[in-house]
Amino acid sequence: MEITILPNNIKCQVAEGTSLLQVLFEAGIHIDGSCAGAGVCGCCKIQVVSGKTPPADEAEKELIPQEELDQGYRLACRVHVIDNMRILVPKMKNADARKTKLLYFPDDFVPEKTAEQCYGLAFDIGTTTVVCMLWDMKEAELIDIAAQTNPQSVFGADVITRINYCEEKPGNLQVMHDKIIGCLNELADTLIERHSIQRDLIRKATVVGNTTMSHLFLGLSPSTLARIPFTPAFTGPKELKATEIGIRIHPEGDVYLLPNIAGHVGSDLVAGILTSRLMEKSGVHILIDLGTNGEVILQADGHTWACSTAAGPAFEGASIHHGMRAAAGAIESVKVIEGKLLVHTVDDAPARGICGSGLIDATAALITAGVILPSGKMISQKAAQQELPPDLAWRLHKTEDNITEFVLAQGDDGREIVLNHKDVRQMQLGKGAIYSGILLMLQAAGKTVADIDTVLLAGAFGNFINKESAVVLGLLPNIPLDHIIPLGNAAGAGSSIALLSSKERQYIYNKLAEIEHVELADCPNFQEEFIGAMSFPRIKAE
Amino acid sequence: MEESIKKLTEAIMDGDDEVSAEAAQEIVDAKADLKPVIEKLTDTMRELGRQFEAMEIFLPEMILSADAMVAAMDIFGPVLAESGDIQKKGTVVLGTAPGDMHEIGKNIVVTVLTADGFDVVDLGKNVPAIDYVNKAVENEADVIGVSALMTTTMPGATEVINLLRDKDLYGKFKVIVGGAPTNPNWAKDIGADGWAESAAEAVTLVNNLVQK
Repeated sequence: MEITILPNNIKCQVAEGTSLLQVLFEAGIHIDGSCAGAGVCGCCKIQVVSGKTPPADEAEKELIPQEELDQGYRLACRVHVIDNMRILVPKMKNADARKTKLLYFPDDFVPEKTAEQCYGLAFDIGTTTVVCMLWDMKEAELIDIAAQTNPQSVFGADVITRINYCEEKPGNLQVMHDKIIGCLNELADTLIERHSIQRDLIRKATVVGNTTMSHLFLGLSPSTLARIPFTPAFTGPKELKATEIGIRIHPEGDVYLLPNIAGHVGSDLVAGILTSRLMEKSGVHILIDLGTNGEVILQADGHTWACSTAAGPAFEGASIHHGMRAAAGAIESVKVIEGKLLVHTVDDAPARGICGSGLIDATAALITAGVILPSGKMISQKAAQQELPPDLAWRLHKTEDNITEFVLAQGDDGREIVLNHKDVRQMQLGKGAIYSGILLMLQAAGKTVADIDTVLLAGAFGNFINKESAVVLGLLPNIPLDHIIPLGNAAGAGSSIALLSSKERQYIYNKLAEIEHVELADCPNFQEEFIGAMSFPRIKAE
Repeated sequence: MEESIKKLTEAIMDGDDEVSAEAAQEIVDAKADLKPVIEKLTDTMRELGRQFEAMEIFLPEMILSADAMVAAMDIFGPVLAESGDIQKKGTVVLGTAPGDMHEIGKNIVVTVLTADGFDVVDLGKNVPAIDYVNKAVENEADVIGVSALMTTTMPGATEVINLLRDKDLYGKFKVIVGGAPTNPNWAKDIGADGWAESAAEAVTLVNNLVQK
């Protein structure tokens, strides 16, 4: 039987009688705090969109209000498959949770199981969120995941401000280093306590992160990363003893920091290469991590090129008038259907702002509706009155500062959540940076967009964006949508792969030398491509 | 004549450098007085600045329009020089700060200043502090401009000013700074003579500085 898991549209074939919780587990979707199917915690609530189900049992009636039961809400652990189904897994509660889920592993990955019972930790140090995955190394099973906001965030949201902070005065670098080591230990402690694991049985840990995070993890100055030629203090892998670096696992435990490619192409991307099997693919494939430094890695006919693009923080909701992280109340999807604007927020809470996926959706929807022209200009109020359906026309107005804005929603305090002209311009800069990076990589390989076989999206964000909107926006190349494949948390998965297999670790260490790093700003036609890529393509959405 | 001027300003607003050059040639061929035409161009530039500020146009249009403006000035330039009607306004040496590769903003400033009748020496990107000083001396410049798009490269502008002080040249050239992370207070603190928010403002700023 086929189960389709929304919103990511993951399809799996399962035998009759399998519980939905098992299906989700096998699909790699980690659902919140399960009581192992006992039906007492109510955390694995999902919505059955279509397909026959057995009636709700006592546990479900106890935990789910009748109103929600009527809407198809069920506990995944209690529903056993009797029909083809489409189910919707609710959005995670906060941005941290959102980033921890979605670990997908390549089909051919074979973990090296240990003979004795021991454990391992796979870390993924994001600029915003730090994730720790606890593995049973004997069974090669993921036990649990914990996540925390990166405590360095108080010293700046992006890597450049953190580098600045390190340079401000002696001692600051140490503070940043201590912060991140402390954070890793807290995450480890959380998991150790939660699962009553003996600390000394944790024998291995792997760490991945962008190049700045890797430097700060080691306590090395990242100064050179903020100025051309952005040379990192190291690129190769680091293998340390736990006591040396201060990670509280078995004192003799091994800690592996995966290598980085360049100053702004870090070990998180290296981990993404492991997860995606990018360098084993024939044809033309592009791995993209959509973030402040949108990294692009191109694999074409056996060669590999890598670059980072200055996408800026727009996709993370920063530098956007009503931008916010993907927390409750963030507008995360926007559609125009039959002249009506349909807006969806995280947790269906009253609108508070717009997160990255909402921005991409909103911009794309307004391009398709003709509110935003291909040049990025928003049409005049007069044109809106004449040309737009009434539900769109009233939403466009000008502020006292003469900035055009489009009302997306109204919060419960009456505050209007808008997308304004400046936001559109920020989106143009961000998507122009990434798209010109893709074009320049293709040029380096002598290829064109038509040659692309697949676009692989690393980074949690790639899982939450609407692919069609990203293509309408011209953020991603116009290729068939099923050739654009989200990889889930590719960095976390790659960190886990490196933890579970010395062979995989060795493989990626050896592969590193084959990757050619391209400094985009040195490309003679960089400005031309960047400026060109700022316009929105004229694509008709179906 | 009126038609050609209209054609010219429209071509600049549309960012069409072929049509703007064509219109400029028509005006020159008609042996018209260029002074009012140049004034008209200044108005057009100001209008572009206003639209950019109001977000109605963006970098792609700004660059195309600036190119169209330069295409026209290339044709007017020799005629103006010959007639002695309009004297060169001054010389500006521009570049991006040491360590900074972001030059789109600087390029726009180069273009609009050129279009406004300044001699502009474009030093390019990632320009060592000493080059600003040497090129300013060599070209007998009036103004030195340093652009920085990263907080980490802003100190490069300070470096240029300190170098001028060391060489006893501070005050001989006016120094202007700009770029997204910069602000007027910082400019004042480091001893710069001016700061501008946008390319259009930079034109006004440089005009004011050279008149002093």
